[in-house]
Amino acid sequence: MVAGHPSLLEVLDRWFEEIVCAVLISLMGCMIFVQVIMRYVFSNPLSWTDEIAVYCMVWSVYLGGALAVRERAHIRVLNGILAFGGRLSAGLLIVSDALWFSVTALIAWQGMLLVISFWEQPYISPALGISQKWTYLIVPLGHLLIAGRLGQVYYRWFVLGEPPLAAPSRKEDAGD
Amino acid sequence: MTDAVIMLASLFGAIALGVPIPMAVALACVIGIWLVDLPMIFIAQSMYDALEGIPLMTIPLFVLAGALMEKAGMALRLVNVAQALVGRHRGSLGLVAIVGCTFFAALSGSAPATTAAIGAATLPAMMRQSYAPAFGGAVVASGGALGSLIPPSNLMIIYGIVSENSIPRLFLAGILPGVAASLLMMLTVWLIARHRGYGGSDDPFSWGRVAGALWEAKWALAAPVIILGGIYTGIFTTTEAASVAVAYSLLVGFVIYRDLKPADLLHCLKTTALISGTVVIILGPAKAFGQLVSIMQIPEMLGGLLGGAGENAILTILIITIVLVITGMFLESIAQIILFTPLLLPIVVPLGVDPIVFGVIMVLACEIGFLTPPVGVNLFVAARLTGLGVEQISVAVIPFLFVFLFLILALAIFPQVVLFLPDMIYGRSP
Repeated sequence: MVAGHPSLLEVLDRWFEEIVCAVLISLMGCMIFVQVIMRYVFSNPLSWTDEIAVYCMVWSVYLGGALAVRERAHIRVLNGILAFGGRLSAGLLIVSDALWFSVTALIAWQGMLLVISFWEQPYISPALGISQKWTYLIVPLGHLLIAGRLGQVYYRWFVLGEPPLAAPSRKEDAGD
Repeated sequence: MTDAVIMLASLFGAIALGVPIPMAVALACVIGIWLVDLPMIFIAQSMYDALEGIPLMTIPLFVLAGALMEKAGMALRLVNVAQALVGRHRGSLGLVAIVGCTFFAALSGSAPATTAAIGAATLPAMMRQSYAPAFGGAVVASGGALGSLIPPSNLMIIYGIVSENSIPRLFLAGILPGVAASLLMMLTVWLIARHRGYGGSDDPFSWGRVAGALWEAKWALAAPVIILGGIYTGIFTTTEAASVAVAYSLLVGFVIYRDLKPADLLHCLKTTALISGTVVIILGPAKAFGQLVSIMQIPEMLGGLLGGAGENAILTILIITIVLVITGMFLESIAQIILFTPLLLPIVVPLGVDPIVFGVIMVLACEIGFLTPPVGVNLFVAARLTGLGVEQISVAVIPFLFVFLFLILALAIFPQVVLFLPDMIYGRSP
């Protein structure tokens, strides 16, 4: 980024998933480790640490999925479609991403229906008493974010002219 | 039958079109759900349910621990031990890399992480001693594959979860095949080095030097003792062991060796998030896929396809290995274990193959997948470290592939090697 203060949107674009994932993964590790300590040092095992660790796990996976779109880190076999070269490859890449986008959007939609079903028939977690309508929110949210990040790749490709298969952060991160 | 063919064809079609593999599985599930007329909400439900299990957290935690141990300077000290042990032999740096990978595999559950850690510590020296860079890259790529064979192992954890087998038993089962793979790879390195005339180091072997290096590396060497010792004495579960590994590597990195910086911690957390988001994420759609596979009775169909060959256990394992090696070119290894275990295990168990033995054989077949293009993660890591193309390393790695193929055949014929340690510690499985 150029000198001067980055806007809030730029900061979110660069750091949002990365920071949230870092916090969630750290919290997950702490929860599991605290359990060992509580059991052996204080002989007083906690019942709710596992539950928090599970929420951290599920949320970090889908936010990590969105981060991986931004970093172009998803594992995909591109040799086949890139072998053609030129416009045909670009066209096949668009078809491939369109399939990806549609599946993700479909899961986001079905995930929303699932969350709505938990509003109608509440399901409360055993240890912490958290309504699962909040924890399951990651299925629609995570997939919306993945789809949104995929849309961003196309914005950067068609509007800003950046290559679709190279991670944008490489340039910014060159300093560290 | 046609439902199954359409679902599998859409899976492979989407992968060939370049759809990321977890999303290709999700696409196949959507089509499968539509074909067998299940409610579509099923896929959203499995996206959450599949990730709820406590044992699954072992994977991101071991990934984090492995990344921290590399940055904390443990890899370098293990390489010094290997150097003191085998440094004077012909092709010594290649041997050092394999021995270093073997040690690091006992700290790390991931093959690419082992390649990255030991490769970064040994490749610069190999290049200085005018080793062919492609050979050096091939050595650390194949040595790194030991990361998933020698416990702890992420692939074994996934197999244990999917096949409902004991993870500590699987870990024990991986030790002897892992040591055998390590020795066979050292032999391969030695033969190639002799052929090409690579030298050894001039320092003579001495027990004093070995003892010195061992003492220097004591904190790194204590890690597997704590992790595996804790699991086998029942002090903590596999998941808790992974969190202890993270805590231990933070302790060593920040307090004892002081090689770790706060920025490294953020970097390691980001690496973990990316592995979760690209690899672990497949568990969601894979759970739905596994259920569709059994609803459509695909294992029975595959068993029928094998025909007469399907009555001989060894022949069946060989056919399965060929299938896994071919699909391993295109699938990431965790994806491969998740997708193929529910398909293949029901075929081999009636033939008298022990599920633990089959797990080790599947992991070995997946290690070949780490080393074959276009999706061979270890090749990518080695290519990045050497600055070569993936093609050059994938050619140099070919001799090492035979080590794994040979081991699969040997273990299919002598499964006692796999079962020896787990049976000794836990008694015979029922």
